[in-house]
Amino acid sequence: MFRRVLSAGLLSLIIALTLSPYVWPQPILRQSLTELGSTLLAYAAVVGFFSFLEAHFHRVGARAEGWPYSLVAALTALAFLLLSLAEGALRGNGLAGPWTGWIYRYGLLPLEASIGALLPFFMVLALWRLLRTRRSAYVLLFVAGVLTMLIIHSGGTLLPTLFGSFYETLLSPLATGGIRGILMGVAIGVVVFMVRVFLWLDRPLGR
Amino acid sequence: MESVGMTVALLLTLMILSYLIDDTAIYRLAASALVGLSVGYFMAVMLWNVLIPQWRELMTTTDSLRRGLLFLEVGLGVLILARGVPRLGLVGDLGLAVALGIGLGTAGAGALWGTLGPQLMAGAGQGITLGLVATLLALLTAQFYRPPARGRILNPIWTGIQALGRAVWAFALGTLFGSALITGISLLIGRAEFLIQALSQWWR
Repeated sequence: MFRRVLSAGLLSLIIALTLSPYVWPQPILRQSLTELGSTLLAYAAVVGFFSFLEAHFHRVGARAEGWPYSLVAALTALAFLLLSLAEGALRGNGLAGPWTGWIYRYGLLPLEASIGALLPFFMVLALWRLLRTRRSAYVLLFVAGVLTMLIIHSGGTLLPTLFGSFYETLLSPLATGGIRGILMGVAIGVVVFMVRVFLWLDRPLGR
Repeated sequence: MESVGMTVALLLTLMILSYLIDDTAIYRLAASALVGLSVGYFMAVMLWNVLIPQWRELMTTTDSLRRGLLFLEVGLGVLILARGVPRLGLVGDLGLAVALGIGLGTAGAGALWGTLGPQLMAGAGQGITLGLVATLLALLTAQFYRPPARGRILNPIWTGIQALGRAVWAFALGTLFGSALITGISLLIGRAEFLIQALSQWWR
């Protein structure tokens, strides 16, 4: 009980303190709180890193299904971090060294870009499955939205010119207005969640 | 070094793209390497860009106010690290409460002053337009508000508004999906260019 009240009270106090520079401008307080937040995120990342290693090495130890993949994931993470520490000890910054730079350029970047390159295949497949399994007016409107973007951005063809005025008059305001509504809905959700935590109606640290 | 790097990059690209044939062990190995490298890189960025500069500053700074703030940051950070030890969970909660409070406060302020305010001004600033109607319909469909009593007249009107709002949502999400698809196609073209370039260098 005491633990819950202490955490919830501290949480409310910090929320109020963080909001105060937005109402009553205090640049130093705002900057200090932002710095404090990013530092605590870094410490939380350390905890997350160790739990990542623990979870994967546990899978390897238990010879769970797919354990070689866990071994690869854990070893590459550990190897990159150790390499950056070694380079940092030699050069003062572990991210500016030639070896970490090499791994970033020829390892991480190609892997990320290749996964991104698979995205259109996944998306087209998902769209095809959606069209096959659910046939409703909403699905057709969804597909119309997809086609609109593809037509408008089809460079080197006459389609954007032919379609342009119809897009500007009807489709663009509809899409912009809809996305604005979704954005505002998400923002209202965030504010409501913050207020609920502040008033102790939600307790994210409760057990 | 560069030619070795190009070969490694080529192999990794082919390993990932092998997913187009089937979900093979080669693809999964490359995907696991991507996860591991990303986690390792994120940790290294946190360490070298946030934590180590602060520890260094703590040793060298002569400003007592600054030193106090840095001590507070390190102290709260240690509390978060203590959360990793189950017995010290209580003290860990305090550090996490501060981090969560700053995160929620910043997110709430960003939502209020960064999203809601500017979007309201942009949406309602031009009078009643098709865009404003679409925004209102999309918001009403999110069901932040529901009429308390439903009569013979109100019920079909409300159902109609909901249907129109869902249509706006479907179209707007479709355009977002289309934009993401275009981004993916750009990445695919980039990878195809890289493959052609790397393979043509290899053949020479």
